Amino acid sequence: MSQLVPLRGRDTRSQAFFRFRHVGEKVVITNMEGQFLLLSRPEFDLYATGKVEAGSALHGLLSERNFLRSDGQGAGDAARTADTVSRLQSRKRFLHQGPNLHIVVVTLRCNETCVYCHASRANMDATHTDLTPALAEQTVDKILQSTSPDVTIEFQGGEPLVNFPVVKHIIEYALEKNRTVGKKLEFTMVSNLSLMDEEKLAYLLQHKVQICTSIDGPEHIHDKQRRLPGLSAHRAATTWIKRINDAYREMGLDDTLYHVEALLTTTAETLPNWKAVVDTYVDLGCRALFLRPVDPFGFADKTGHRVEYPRMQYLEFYRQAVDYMLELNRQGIQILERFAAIFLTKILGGEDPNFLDIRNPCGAGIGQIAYNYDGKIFTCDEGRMLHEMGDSTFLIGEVGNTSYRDLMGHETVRALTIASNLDAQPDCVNCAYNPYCGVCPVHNHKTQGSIFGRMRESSLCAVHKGIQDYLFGKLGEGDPHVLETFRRWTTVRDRSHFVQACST
Amino acid sequence: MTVLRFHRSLYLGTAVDEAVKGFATFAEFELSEEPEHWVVKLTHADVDRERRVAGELGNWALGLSVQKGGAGSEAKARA
Repeated sequence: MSQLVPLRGRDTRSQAFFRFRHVGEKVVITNMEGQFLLLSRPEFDLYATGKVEAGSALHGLLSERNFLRSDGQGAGDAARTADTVSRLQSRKRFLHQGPNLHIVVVTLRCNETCVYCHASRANMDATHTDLTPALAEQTVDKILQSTSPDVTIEFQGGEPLVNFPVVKHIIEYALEKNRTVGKKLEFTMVSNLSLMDEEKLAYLLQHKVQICTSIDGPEHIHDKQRRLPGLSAHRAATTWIKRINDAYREMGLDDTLYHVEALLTTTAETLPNWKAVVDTYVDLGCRALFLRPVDPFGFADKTGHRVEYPRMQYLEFYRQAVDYMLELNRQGIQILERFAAIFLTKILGGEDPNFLDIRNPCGAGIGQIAYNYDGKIFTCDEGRMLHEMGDSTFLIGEVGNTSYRDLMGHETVRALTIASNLDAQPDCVNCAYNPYCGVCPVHNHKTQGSIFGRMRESSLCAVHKGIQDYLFGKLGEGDPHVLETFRRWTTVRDRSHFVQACST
Repeated sequence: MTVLRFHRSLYLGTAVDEAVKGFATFAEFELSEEPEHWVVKLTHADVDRERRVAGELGNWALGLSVQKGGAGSEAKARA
């Protein structure tokens, strides 16, 4: 016994668990709870080798953010542990809730033909792809069984306005059923707006349906990518965006919060036009722009040679566009980039905005469910898109035959949850951006033949990493205007107008 | 009776077989194949127990599939 080396007290200069990544001249370190620090290279060397002097400014900073081991004897240790647990719980609050986003494809028919159509639209005479009222009711019954207290029903297509009677039926049936169920219920419609008219708009406004559309930049690009026979798809969409935004103002709603949300799909044609894209959105009065890369689903699989591009080019486009948006913000024009806002909310805000495609684990099955026009149920919208391409891997049931319990415990849902758990995913487990990131197993399956994927070769990982490199680079530069804008982008304001009353 | 459908592009057939063998003493099992799925039917007189065995069997089959290199490895081995 006398030969045993005496136990030493724990060295509080040594590192607690951390991950790191070089970003420009700095090194970003993150920990499990999602705290971060940007260190200079010499500071990082001191930290990595356990040579940070106790009492130094760096020691204080590292200790404050939980990057140093505690000696386990301090008076504040228990409180610190409780804080850490609380921060982790806050980031993962979406777990144990159940699916909140329910995508209902009311028809595959669409009057526009998009070069990249992810939904694999059908011609206008394909009425067999319309959801029937009876199946719509069964779908709503299934949706309201969700264990999530918040339920959003999102109408998609095809073009949902093509089957507007069923959209109305779903809204009225869901409102009626929800009187007893009591969910915090919202409706959203994704539409190209070209079939909108005053009567439909009045109904949608009266029933508080949030409206989203697509704007692929300036008119010449939008109309080239989204063909509307005999008309300009861009003019049709922008006319109604302005009309709807005016209607919100007339209703007394705050126009900084209530406006049509527009989404961009970035194709090869878009890349050199980053400034024109941003200007188009600003001119339309949009407060947000989502610079989404094209996905490999639907028609984009076949037109890839025309619409695709190396992701390095996309990231250059992204940096130029967001730099320009930051400059506009400096001039007092408020416009935010949605990818940046999602990541920054996690990085700076310590909260997870529950964006289902970028969370850990992803939302497939446990955060969202997609219901097809024929009653088939899929783990997510991407899974449903693959089904239309002939791959039914992510089909998990049918509205009339599969119980909610069987959907949630489905073997495919389990597999996707495991595959999108970044804490067990090679590369992701060691990545500094682990606390803020998310993978899409359906994208992995489509592009790499495995739901687990290989992140080093993943185009999605390249985009997520590249965007976060850009954001941390900006944070490292420390420009007060940029930091103030980033802080503003993390502010999530409830759009309570869109929440339906659950009793009459 | 509980029916589990393991998609062939997500689960290894050998992993499903091995999982069923591992759980053979806990319920009655019947294995079959569909074009896209390995199908396992299991029965136990106690419904709660049947549900629990089904859940654990699913986890075990998934774990084994991952451990063995994923469903893609079976296709590669056949090629």
